[in-house]
Order: sequence, then structure tokens, then C-alpha cells
Amino acid sequence: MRMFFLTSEKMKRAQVASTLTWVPSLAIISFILFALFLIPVFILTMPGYLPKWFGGGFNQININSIETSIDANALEELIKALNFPVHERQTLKDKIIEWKILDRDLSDKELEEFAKEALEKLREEEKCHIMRIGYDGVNDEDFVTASNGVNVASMPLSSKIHKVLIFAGKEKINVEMSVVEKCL
Amino acid sequence: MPVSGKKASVETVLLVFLVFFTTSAALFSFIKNSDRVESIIINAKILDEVYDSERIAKFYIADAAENAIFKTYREISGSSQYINPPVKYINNEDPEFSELNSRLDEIFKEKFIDNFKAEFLRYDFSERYLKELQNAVRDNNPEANFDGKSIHIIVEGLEIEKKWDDVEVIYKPEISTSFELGRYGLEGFEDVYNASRECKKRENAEEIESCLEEKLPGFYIDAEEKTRLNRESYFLITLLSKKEFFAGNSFERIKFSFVPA
Repeated sequence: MRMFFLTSEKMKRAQVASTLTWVPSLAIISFILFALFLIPVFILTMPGYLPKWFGGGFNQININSIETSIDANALEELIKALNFPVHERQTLKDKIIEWKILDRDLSDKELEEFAKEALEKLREEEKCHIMRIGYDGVNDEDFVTASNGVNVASMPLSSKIHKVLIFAGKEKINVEMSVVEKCL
Repeated sequence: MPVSGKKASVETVLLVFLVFFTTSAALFSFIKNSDRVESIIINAKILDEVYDSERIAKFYIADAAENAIFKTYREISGSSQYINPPVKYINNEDPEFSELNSRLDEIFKEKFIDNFKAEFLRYDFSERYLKELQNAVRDNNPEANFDGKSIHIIVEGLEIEKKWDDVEVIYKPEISTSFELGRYGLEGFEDVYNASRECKKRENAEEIESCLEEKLPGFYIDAEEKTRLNRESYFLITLLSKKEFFAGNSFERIKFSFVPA
């Protein structure tokens, strides 16, 4: 430190002027260097300009296999079916709660008919639905299955099962639906 | 001059090279860490799964909103809050529907938000994104707006994350949806007020009933002729909703009575 001041004290007038000249010069040189690099970089980073190995290229998402599945909107259809009015302003969801919660005031057969009625509104050509209500995987017989245009008693293994839980009081009621291509 | 000039140029050249090096390193880092997106999605169904999660969230929001509308309507009609205070009771029991409460929309909105939160928080979700949505609803009141016939609600805080190999999809939709009272078989209180004023001029109970049934299709109507303490007769109108709502343990209808003014 002391050496620095000693040398500073001994610095000649010409040297002081030279040092002061380099301060703005440094700023100018830095600016030129930034400009020299930034302009080419902005050009190079334009989409498709810079080689991919150097971080260039377009933003891209490659989708290898697009499967146009028949059950693409199946969950939405299941929710629609649950909200269809089936009897005196009551929706299928209300009827399911009535069936499960209110000591079976509604019989399995009646619920099946209501579910069929709702599913019929979803029916499209070459597209049928199977609904399973109240299946919890434990009580194997304590559930109702309904379908439109399909004559099967169980969910097809090949189809994806879409599921919604209905919360009614302390109960949870499982409602599942699958879409099948082969209508009978 | 020649000796001192040489010393200064060495330092300066060194400084210039340091600046050059730092600049180059910064630019290289800038290029390498740019926001370039490149992903390979093996199966486009990952996006379907994301949208399905949003549909599930919307389903539960709609379910909670339906229950909240029922509770709110029942609270307001049961406590005669749809009538502008102070409420005048004929024979000390039958409220007179003299005027629509000027603060009704605000009251409905406030009660709806409380009921919506209570309903939505009672769901026993197992999915993480739905639990987080519950936390968001609990911590921040959803925005709601009631216009007399429908309630509009905005729920924020839904964040759906799906991972597929090294691809992560994060989707943060804002759920904004409207629920009309008519969808649930209910009529706006203003419609009830207007209908009662129009139909009160009819001569007998049967005519009042048929007039109101035509104007308020969501309700069963009962008009009962009663007598005031001063022997003057009046009609007590009772509305009973045609739709039944699930109230935790049983299905209930909304029922309320008033005297048209």
C-alpha cells in the first residue's frame, strides 16, 4: 500500500494524464467488444441460424405417435352423464347418491335404468359406453353396471377406465366408465 | 517517455484481455442457457391426462358450487333476508315481501363464498393437485360475483404436474365458471318479487297459484287465504322447490313463505 502511494507521489505529470486517458478508453473498448459479440450473437440465435450442437434450432416438441383414441373425451362424457337430469329434475349423480346413501330407496334395477337413460344421450355411431357404479374392488357384487348399445356385464379389459368419485356425506361413491368401439 | 509508455501498455493490454475473456465467457453462458425448448413426447396422451385432471377439478368445483348455491338460497329464503329490512311480519309470523333487499347480491355472494369453501374443503381427496387446490381455496377466498340470476366464480391455485420420462408438464389453469340458478331449478329473488306483485291482484288462491306456477316454473306454489287481526284477509304464498338437493344425510327441498305487498 505504502509502495503504491510512494510510486503515485513519484508519478510524473505525463503518466497521470496517460492513466486518466485509459479510463474512458476502457469503457469505449468494452462497449466495442460487447457490440462486436452481441450483434453476431443476436443474429446467430435467430431461429434456425445457429447449429443445434451450439444451442441453436427452433423450439420444438416432437410427438412420435399420435393415437387418435376413441376415449379422448371419455372423462368429460362421464361428467356430462352424471349431470344429465334423469327423473324430475334429479340428475344421475343425485340418483346415485340416493341409491347408495338412503338405504337403497332406489333399487339396483332402477338405478341401472337411469344410468342407461343418461348413457343413451351420449351414444354416437360406433361408440358405446359402459358404466360401473359403486364398484370398490372389495364387495364384488355391490355395484351396478349399465351400458348403451353394448351387451356386456363387465368392463372390457382393453379399454381405459375413467373414474370419478362422488362425495356424499361421509361416503365416497366410485363411478367408472369405459368407451368401446364395437357396439352390438 | 519510451520507458514509462511501455510499462503502461502492458497493464492495459492485460486488462483488455481480461475484459475480452470475461465477455466471451458471459456470452457463451448466455447462448448455452437460453430458453430453448426441445422435448420429445413419446405419447401425446400425457396432455390428455393433464386436461383430464383439470376436468376432475372442475367437476368438484361445480359439485361444491351446486351444494353452496342450495345452502345459500335456503339460508337467505329461510331467514327472509331477501326482503329489505326491517321485515314486517303479519300476525307476527308471516313476512311481508314489501321490497327486494337492496344488498341481496352482496349478501348472496358473501354467504356463497363461505358455503363454497366449507363444501370444497370437506372432500377427502387423495390426489396431490386437488389437495393443493383445497389449500389454495382455504387460504385465499375465491372471487365471486352474483347478478341476481347466476353466480360467477374464479378459483385460482390449481397446478397440475405430469411427468413422462424426462418431460415435465406443468399446467396452471385459472378456473372461471358461471352457475345459473335456473340450472338447479331455482328462480332469482327478483323474479319471485316481480311475479308475486303481478299475481297478487288475482281474486282467489287458485288463480294466484296458477299465475305464479306459470311465472316460477321451478317451484310448487301454494296460496293460502288468511285473516289479519283486524279481520282483513291476505294470501300467504309458499314456494316449494321441485328439485331436491342433497343436504348431507337426506334430500331436501327449499321451502319459504311470504305475503305479497
